Amino acid sequence: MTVASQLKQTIAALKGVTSNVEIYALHHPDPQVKALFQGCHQDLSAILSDLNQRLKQVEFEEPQFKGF
Amino acid sequence: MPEWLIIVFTTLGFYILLVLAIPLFGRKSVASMTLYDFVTGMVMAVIIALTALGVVERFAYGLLGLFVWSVGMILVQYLIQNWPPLHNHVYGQELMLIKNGKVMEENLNQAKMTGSELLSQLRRKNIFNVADVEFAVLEPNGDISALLKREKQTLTPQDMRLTVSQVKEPQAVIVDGKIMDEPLAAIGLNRSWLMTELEKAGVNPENVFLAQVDSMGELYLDLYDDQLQPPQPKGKALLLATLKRIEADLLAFSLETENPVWKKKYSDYAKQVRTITERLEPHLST
Repeated sequence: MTVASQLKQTIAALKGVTSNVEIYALHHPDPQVKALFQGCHQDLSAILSDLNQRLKQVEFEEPQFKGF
Repeated sequence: MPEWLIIVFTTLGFYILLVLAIPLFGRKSVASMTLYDFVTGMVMAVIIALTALGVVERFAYGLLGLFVWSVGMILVQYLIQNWPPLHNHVYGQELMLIKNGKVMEENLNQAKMTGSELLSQLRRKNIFNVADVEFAVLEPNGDISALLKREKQTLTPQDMRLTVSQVKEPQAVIVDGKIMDEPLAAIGLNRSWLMTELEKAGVNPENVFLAQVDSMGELYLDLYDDQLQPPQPKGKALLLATLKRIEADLLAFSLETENPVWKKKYSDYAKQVRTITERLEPHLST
């Protein structure tokens, strides 16, 4: 497995987690827990967008593996 | 009018009256009734029965007795609620039976209880050692309430210094196969959400006997067809596992990459994900 495809898997997993955390943040009736989930959602989305940048960089460096 | 017809009418009338008046009697269960409640209730019942069956010679007299009795009861009830001495007189005061771990013999005598009765009452509360009891009172209705010594009390998350998620009451959104709109609205969801969740679980809405949503929005299902195994909610556990996997992935990337900037970034992110996991864990593991 190439670096890019490994990264892609992690990004996909992170995407799923981020959206799940957001769903819990929306549903939870306790405002304190809601805030906690919202904070975690923001942190996770920041990581997610940065990892996406990294993926572009990696694909740019090794274009022969692009799309795998 | 023949006499039997009068009896039919009066009995029916009282019966309907009784059904209408049931909410006035409060919500005390029969088991928690005190002697006073029992006696007054009995007298009411006897007056009603005698009047309805025509044992009381004149119907009006029966009604009069009932009326006076009810007014008296309501009056006394009002006084009981607003004047503590009367409350104590009618219902009796709670008696301390065990204080600081010592049995109060004179109070036991006053309550006409023997030592073995006290023991048997405590056993019914799963207390076999009198030594474990810090404090016990005899309630007005004859029950015993006991406070255990601190070290014998049930272990709570607070004792363990554990953070636990606050839970709100779960809502039953399908009961007896019928969708309940009010509980759904109470947790901010609607029918289309429910339908989507049922579809995700691969379950036909007609087949659901009971569905309950917990405070995290997870759906527990019970089906009419017990051969079918509905998927049990595992979203939270899955989320936790995925978070841990992401952390491990990021750590692996930080070891593999030769880019010094990203080496640092990956390991920072791994740490960040770890703290997020730790913060969410109490709310995700049930």
